Amino acid sequence: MSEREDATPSPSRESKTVNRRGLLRLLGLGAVSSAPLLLLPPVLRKASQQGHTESPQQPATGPSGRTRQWTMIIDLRKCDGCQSQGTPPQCTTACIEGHFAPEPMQWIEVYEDELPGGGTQFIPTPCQQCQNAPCVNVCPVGATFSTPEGTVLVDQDRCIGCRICMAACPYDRRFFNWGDPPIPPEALLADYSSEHEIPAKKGTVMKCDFCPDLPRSGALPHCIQACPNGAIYFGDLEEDVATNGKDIVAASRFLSENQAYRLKEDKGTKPRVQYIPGHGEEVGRDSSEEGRLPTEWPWEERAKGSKTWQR
Amino acid sequence: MRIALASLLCSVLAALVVSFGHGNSTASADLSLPAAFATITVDGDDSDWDSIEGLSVTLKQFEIPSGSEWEYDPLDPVEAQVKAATDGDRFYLLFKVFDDYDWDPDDSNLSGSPNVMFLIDQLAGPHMGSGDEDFEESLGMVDIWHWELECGPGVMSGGGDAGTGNDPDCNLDDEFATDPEERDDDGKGDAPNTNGENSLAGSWDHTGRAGGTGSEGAWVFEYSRPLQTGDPEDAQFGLGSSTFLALAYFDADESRTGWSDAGHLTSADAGWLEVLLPSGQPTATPVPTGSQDPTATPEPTASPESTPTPAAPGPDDSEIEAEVTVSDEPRVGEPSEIRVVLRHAEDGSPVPDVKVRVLQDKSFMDVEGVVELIGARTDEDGVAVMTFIPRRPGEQELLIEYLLPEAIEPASTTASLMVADGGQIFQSEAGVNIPGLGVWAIFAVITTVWALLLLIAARVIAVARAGGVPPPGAPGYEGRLTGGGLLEGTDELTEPGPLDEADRLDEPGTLGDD
Amino acid sequence: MAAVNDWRQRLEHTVLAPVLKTSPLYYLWLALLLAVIGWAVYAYSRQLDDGLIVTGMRDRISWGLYISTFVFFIGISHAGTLISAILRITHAGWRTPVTRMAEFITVVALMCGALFVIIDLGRPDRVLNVILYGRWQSPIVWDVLAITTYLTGSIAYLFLPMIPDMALFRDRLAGRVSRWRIRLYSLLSVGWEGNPTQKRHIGSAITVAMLLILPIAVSVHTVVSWIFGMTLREPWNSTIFGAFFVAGAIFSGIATLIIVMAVLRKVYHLEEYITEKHFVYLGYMMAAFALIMIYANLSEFITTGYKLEEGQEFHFNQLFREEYAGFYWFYALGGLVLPALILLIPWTRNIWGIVVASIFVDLGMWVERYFIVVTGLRVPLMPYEPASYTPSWVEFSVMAGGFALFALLISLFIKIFPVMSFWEVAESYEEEEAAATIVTSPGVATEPAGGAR
Repeated sequence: MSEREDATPSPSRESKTVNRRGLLRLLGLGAVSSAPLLLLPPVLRKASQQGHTESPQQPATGPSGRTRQWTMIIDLRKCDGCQSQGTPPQCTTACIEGHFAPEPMQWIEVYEDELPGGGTQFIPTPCQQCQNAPCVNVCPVGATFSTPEGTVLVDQDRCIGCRICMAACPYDRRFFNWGDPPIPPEALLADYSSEHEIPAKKGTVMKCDFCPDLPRSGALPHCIQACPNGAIYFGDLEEDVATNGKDIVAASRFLSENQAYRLKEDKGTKPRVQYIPGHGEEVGRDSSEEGRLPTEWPWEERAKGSKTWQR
Repeated sequence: MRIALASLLCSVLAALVVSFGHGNSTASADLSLPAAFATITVDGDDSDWDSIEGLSVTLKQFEIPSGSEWEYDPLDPVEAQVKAATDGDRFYLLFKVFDDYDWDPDDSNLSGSPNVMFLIDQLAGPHMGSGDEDFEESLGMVDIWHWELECGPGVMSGGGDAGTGNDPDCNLDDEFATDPEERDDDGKGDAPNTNGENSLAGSWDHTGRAGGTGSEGAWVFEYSRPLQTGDPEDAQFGLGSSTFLALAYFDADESRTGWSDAGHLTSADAGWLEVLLPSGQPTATPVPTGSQDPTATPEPTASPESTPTPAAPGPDDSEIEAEVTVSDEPRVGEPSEIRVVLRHAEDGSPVPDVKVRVLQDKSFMDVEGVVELIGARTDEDGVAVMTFIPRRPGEQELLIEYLLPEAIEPASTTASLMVADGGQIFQSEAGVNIPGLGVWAIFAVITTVWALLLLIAARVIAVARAGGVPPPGAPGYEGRLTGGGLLEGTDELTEPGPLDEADRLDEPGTLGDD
Repeated sequence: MAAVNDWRQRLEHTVLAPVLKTSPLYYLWLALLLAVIGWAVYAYSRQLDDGLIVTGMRDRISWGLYISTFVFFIGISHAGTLISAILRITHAGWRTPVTRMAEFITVVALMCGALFVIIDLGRPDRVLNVILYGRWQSPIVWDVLAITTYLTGSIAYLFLPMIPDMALFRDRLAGRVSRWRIRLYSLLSVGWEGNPTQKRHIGSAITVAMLLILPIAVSVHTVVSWIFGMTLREPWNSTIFGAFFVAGAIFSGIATLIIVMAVLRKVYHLEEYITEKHFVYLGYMMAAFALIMIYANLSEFITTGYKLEEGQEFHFNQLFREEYAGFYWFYALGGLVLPALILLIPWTRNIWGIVVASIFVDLGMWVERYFIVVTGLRVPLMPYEPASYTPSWVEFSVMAGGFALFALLISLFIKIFPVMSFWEVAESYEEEEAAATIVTSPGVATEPAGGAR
């Protein structure tokens, strides 16, 4: 577009009219365009919180008054996938029943991994409650958020179901309610909160949450209570203590003396779940004994009108 | 046949134990244990031995010299523990073997079998290794308490007719040996001994007996015998003196038919074990050596000195004192140093290479217990330095345990400390933190872009404003139609188009329809 | 001069014709598109009722057809940017007949793409949460910001050069089309008269828009790629995703432009203005980008293939040899190599060949978006059997509806707005003529050889 510098002067009277009119117009325009700026403070406020959703309650504190830092230590020397019990893994069953987890969600899932040299080991895998959680980082609305206790929770009232968190999680620990969740009718009576994910809501994401309401009142999470071999320890890094319901250990010492490791350490997610290597040898399992019973959900028949799906 | 073989094997054992006297003019021992002054109930239950210090030994198969006809299946070593006591009248012995439970009431070869041997003649030497060709040579006499478990657990074994060491009922025989090949019941050897007798009292049990054959646990073999028996083929015990013993155990798991003569496991590798008998009843209440009195101090730096209680004056001194210091003003969340020094009480020489552990009471979620915080080994100066991070403010105690070389159970001492309060140690580090990139950078970019878009909008408004009155000299209306005036120097192309002419901006002209 | 005027009148006629005349075929075409869209709306209503369970997506492969189509549409939207902005900056005169088409492809593609993200949501009723509770750390929020900014910028960029044309329409069509349309044209022409002040203003506005739209467009597809690139999935854990996606976007954008151009040229008889030269030039650019894409593919796969880290080996197998090999090789050979060959071999380098190449490119690029999404999610993260994904009828229907909507919006657009930028075409023609006049004999005005170029 060729521009032509035109030096044609405008008549003075017209220019005065134009100027006044122009000024009014400009003012009007300015006022109109500044209106969005009024939105700025709440936006800035939200931005400064970095989108942190808040837990519904005050953070859990320990006897010394400091905030709890929940952790889990899973002693694989004691986990045999409940082969010796003849049941599906009881940690998973207790979690499903305690939370009315819709089928086919296994918030703590017992994977069977092959060992070099043959044989397998069982790895119960709850949400790793990462300190650098990829799911928290990518959530557009802050529906997935980190708590002061170091856990990661999901607010299903805010989740928009975009599932970028599921793409981001490197541990396969997030589950989506694709349809109406198959849950029993009594689940619908519960008061939903992000610490007590009952009932599940269609079109949103959910996962293991370290049962925040239980340790707050001095009980251990469902999976710890249910493990017949005491393989799962729940602990507080702040007090440096962990228990599997029977034994108590100093968490840091237990970890270092037993060569604890974390899953996918190289991804930099800094999980709060640690593993002590083993294959169930302390409860008599030989590494060549493969296979465990498949997980069961007790209420598909009672979940009215909804059907389950494959993972 | 089995008895013959058993005897032969016992002889071998005896032989190896009595040999190697060359160069050993006096029996000496590297390991010793003090006998406590106590009365023990011989019933197979070792709980009455709990406060008495013992000695741990490893029982291993000895190596048969090459060229021998004996062959056996290799067995893993087993751990054993021996404790001794006396009440001035009788000598009590506890022989505990950590092996699985095997007992067959009908076949003692399928049951474990213990053997205890006492030195009688000084020159008799314990087996020190394999390969001695002269094991036929007799160097002295040893007293053997040989027990094949023909009676059940808790049943009093031993005793027998006068003149013989044989126990016809339960097979706890009092035997002797003078050379490697022979072993006889007291009174039955070649040399006449009318004073042969069996005044042994023994009772056995196994901690894993409830679980049946093969259960893990420990054999508990309890013996007692009068200090003096008057039988020259017995070792005699005296208050204030030492006696030397060796141990052996036959493991029924050695083969499908049970233990074999060659396969037994002995303590001979460790030499004679010296038992130090007390000289009399001690004036103070006997306490197990090694435990120290805690001296609780309210100061932040605690250094409890402890006085060891000596067990018996013996040639070797095993009293250890521990000195514990904790760094000044421990605070929650800050590393605190704890320093443990182990020294011999006698001469202050350091006790190196001892594992020291620091423990504390903790409770969590209705579970209470003692947990290990940190551990280390003492270095050559007997010093172990450890760092731990206190987690709880206030007065608290640390339990420091250390396992001395010959001890079964660890000794311990306590340290008190007052920990100051501190702040939160762990902060949840949630979220992505890219240094330098903040929401402000995003805002800056968005603001710039939208400002430019608003600028464009302003220009459009300016275009609107510049419409209406065409400046003089401009091509005028026609220019709008044909695009003339858009180009340089093309005014001459201006021509009105052939279509309808609508005058102003907002005059729609005649209504048409498409 | 008369010839020029003739030419100008022909141009006007051509530009006004689509608005004035509508054949029955057009209505048939609209009916077809509306039917497809109607079916898609029904399918989506099933999805709203029952939830995303009606799709083939599941926990392990949680994105599928919807997200791949979203990425594809955003990719196509780069047509306008490239043609209009880059060619405008470089003063390439041949761009003028196609800039309008390119710009409205951009706007329509952006709108359709944004639609697919919302369709993919599990809770579309909460879509406003992204504004109310948006977190700046999230790639999706970057996406929303970038796409809305790009949409605004593209609308501005479409609108600004259309102002003089709106004035033309307002004047020429008065009395021949309905009143509301004249009102629309009057409104949109914002009092354009062609006087120097206005020209100055619009010139600077277009310049600003042109300079602004380039970085915005690059950022848009970069942040779209970061929806994948900011995760820890092995096949997506690549630093070249941004550049790779932008190159792919421009590539598919050119192809779409060529296709739309060919269709509209045929239907509305634009042969005089859109010539083989346009196809060839655009084709060359497409070939250049095909080579860039081949290079990017080699770059990505040779480096990861050499190392074969955990997860990459599985990915290589599924992509090159097993389940998705058909998709990949169709894309690589049919979507990259074949178009490059067609364009580089003189024998096939004609309008037909180039249109065929463009169709392959668009198909190949859609397939590429699809397998990037699906194979990326398919690599097992923990010891479990890899899942499989098959889109359901709902997903296919909605996707068809999306493409139908794209075609519908374009079809409606050309019925209301000029299909070519009248004043730009005229201007560049007259520039050429003036240059030819001067060259022929300085100072003497000669009849320039009129006609098409």
